[in-house]
Amino acid sequence: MIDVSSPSRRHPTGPARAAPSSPAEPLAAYAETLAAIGAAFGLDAERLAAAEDLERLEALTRLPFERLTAIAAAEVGKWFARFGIDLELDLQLTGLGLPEPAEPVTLHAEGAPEGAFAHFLRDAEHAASDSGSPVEVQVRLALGKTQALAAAHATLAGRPGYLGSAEALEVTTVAVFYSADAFVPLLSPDQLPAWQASALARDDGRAVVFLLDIAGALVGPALEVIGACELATLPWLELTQAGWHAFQQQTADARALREAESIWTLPASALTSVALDLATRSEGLEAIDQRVAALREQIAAMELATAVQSRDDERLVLRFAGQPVRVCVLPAPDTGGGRGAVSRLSGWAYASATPDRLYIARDCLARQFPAGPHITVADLAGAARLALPAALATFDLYLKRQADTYFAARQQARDAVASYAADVRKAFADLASDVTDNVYRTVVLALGVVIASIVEPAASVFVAALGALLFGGYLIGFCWYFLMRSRQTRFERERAQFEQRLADVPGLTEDERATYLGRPEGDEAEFWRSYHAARRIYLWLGVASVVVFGVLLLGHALGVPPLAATGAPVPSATAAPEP
Amino acid sequence: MVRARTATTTRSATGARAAASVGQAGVVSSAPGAIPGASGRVRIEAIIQHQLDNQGAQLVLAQEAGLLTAEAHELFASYIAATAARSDWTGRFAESDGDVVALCAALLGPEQAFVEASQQLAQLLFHQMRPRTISAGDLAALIYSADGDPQRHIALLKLDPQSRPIRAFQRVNGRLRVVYGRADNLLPDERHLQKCALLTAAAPGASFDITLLDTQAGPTAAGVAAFFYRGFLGVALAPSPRRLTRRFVDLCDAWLDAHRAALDPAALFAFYAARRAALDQSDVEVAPFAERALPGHPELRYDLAETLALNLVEGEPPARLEQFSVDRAVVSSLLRYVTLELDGGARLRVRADRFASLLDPTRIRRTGNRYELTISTLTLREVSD
Repeated sequence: MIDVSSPSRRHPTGPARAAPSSPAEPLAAYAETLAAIGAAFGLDAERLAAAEDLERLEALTRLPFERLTAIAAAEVGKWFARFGIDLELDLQLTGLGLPEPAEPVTLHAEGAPEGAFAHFLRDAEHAASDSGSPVEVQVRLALGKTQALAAAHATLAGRPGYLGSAEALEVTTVAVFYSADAFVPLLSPDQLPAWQASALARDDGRAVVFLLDIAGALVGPALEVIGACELATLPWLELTQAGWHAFQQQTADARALREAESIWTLPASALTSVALDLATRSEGLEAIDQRVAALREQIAAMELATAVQSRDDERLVLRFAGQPVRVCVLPAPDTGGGRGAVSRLSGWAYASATPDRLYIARDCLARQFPAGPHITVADLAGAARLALPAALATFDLYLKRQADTYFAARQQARDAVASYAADVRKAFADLASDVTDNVYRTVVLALGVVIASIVEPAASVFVAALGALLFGGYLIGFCWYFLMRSRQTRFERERAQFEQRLADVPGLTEDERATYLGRPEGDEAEFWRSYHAARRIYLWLGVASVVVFGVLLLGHALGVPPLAATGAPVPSATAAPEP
Repeated sequence: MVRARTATTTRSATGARAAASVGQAGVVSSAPGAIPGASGRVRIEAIIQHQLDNQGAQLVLAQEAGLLTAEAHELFASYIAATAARSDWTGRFAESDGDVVALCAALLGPEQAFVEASQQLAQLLFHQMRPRTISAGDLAALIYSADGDPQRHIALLKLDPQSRPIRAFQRVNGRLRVVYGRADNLLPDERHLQKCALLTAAAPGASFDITLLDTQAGPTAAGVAAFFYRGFLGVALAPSPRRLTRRFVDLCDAWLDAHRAALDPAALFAFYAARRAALDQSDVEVAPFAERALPGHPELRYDLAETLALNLVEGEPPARLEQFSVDRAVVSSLLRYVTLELDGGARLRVRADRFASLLDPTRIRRTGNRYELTISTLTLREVSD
């Protein structure tokens, strides 16, 4: 067990006080009282720490009976006044000289502990005086945490800012440790299930751990480790509601990315390396800070691994992609001395919700590993130290290649738009040309009919009617129906090809694609206007031709003289002389 | 003078012969052997009892040997068996030519010598009992043989008479009524024996081996607490196999408490199993035991072996003991059952041969400082008796 604090910062062991001397000290007073109990029963700080876990403390010890007689009953009363129902003491006289095993005596708050202790001492003194061998007292110290937890909750409710609000406290898990050393065993990657089960690590909230026998503070948005000895002067971490929600979103993204891109055979953990990124707010927790940093390195290693497997011996096997696949086993006695290299690499890899950075980080890490399938945490730290700058450079190159590709694609789109616009304009020009040609043809045909009626008045009506019919059929059947449908089909195919070309261009967003699709809209509108005008022209000309045909046929049937016979002097070699 | 001669009484009792003795340079040697009378098959040849009322400064000396009924014979045989079973100490007279030695030898002589020797012993004990803090009692001297062996042995028992209420019916004015009184001359039952010595000599004239039941004897005994074995008998004590066996178990537990952090659950259970196996033998050698108990921790073996060797025998100066005989009666429960103590004083008691099927030590997890045990059982009920 390590000593997690410098002696000067740890609360001195001393006699218990009946009540805290100031409102800021009640939490630390619990540790003081426990230290007094430990001193009375020969339980030093190390043994007390080893006997404590997240929920309670339970220690067994034996001490010479003479030592027990030095404890005043009033002192025992003070202990129970401090801890109330949380404290239970079982006392049992033992020794080879006792004629028979003694019954244990239990002291608890509701059973007049002072009197019971005095009574036990009297009985034990009698038995001890009769024994020719050393007599010992077996002591079971059982200590809960409800009182200290209540005091911790009250302390948090009084902190300033959003983190002291009811909303924040609703999602805050509070834990207390009478001894800072008792918190240390939890700072190991094989304790992730305990973090999860106790909600010290949670998806939807944060945790505050109070260490009652020490001063100092390590703070982060997801976790705060606070020594209770100097709470009155503690500069509390303040976080806005927006800041808290942004952090939650960031960690949720990181967890989602980790779960999507990694295979873990142990239950998914809410604890991330980002959550363990704690800043020193108040001096005193340097040793805890080192352990947290070491745990953060190992959690970061798990995040960078492609697979994390839990072994039967509770150790974790990390597998890293590469040739060959590297295996690292956690927890490891050494933390690699990487000074946060693994955490920095993981932090960079998980800084965005997309996997690009993670892929690059893993690839660069794999290239920096030493040869051989087994690596230590030190190897991992060394590789991470080299991998981070490599990953940054690779990411720059990756972004640059992405830009080149993007601009090339945009040029393709522009070319497609230009080509399509040219096609549209050509189609428009073809339409105009066709219309112009056909109008000219119509005029020429009309002139031909007039000339023909002058040259051959007798045949002109029939010829004119036939010509009008044929031309009307040409205009309606060929130009209006066939040619214009062909133009429409061609245009629509070109539009479809244009859309396909844009769809085939990689890297364009939907917005960009829509923009490019909209650019030839002016030309397209012009085309359609010309198209519809042309169709109207063809239709009107065709109808007019048919009408002319009908008029001519009708006139011929009614005996209406042709145009040349209506009085106009029509020069004709075959004109009959006047009678 | 009438010597009591009755049929042999058989009682069940176990124990091992007092077997440790202080030798040269503080080294204690240990050798096993059966204590005469431990089996309970005892034939009491002679008995005499004197009253030593130190509270009333009155010494009542019997002048003839006592008469034993069959029931009384059985009671005194049980005293001998209980002394053999519960004796923590062995020893020899510190002065081989002292008065007490001579008187004890005289007890084995003719009837008159037996009576006179017992009277003188009573006077010596009465002298030691002058402080009134010592409870009044009787000294009973017995000559007995055991297990069909004609060899004769001596038992010196300080018996503290017990008292308890009694009732009597009296006719008063022609009418019968019950009257309550108190009998204060009851012989104690075997559980209340506090100071007894069994003396046996390998041959006539040889020095006596003494098996001592004295709950006040021990390394811290001083003043009046030592009046029987030191002041009266003048015995140099050595721990019996019973005490050494209990001491060994206690020392192992204390050593484990101090080194618990270094031992994972599997190593802890390996230690317990090795201890159980060692106690299942007739003798324990501490160095080989340490080797077997700590297969995965060679760095701790020396410390364990030294702790045991130097502390098995209590007192100053330290006496080194490398080997001792096991008193199986003391550890019979430990050999048959694995009893784990858990939080809150909860106890899990499993037959040793079935322990492995119920709880696999290699599957015990540690979460922080906490052990997590997985118990596989087909039975689950609260015991109401």
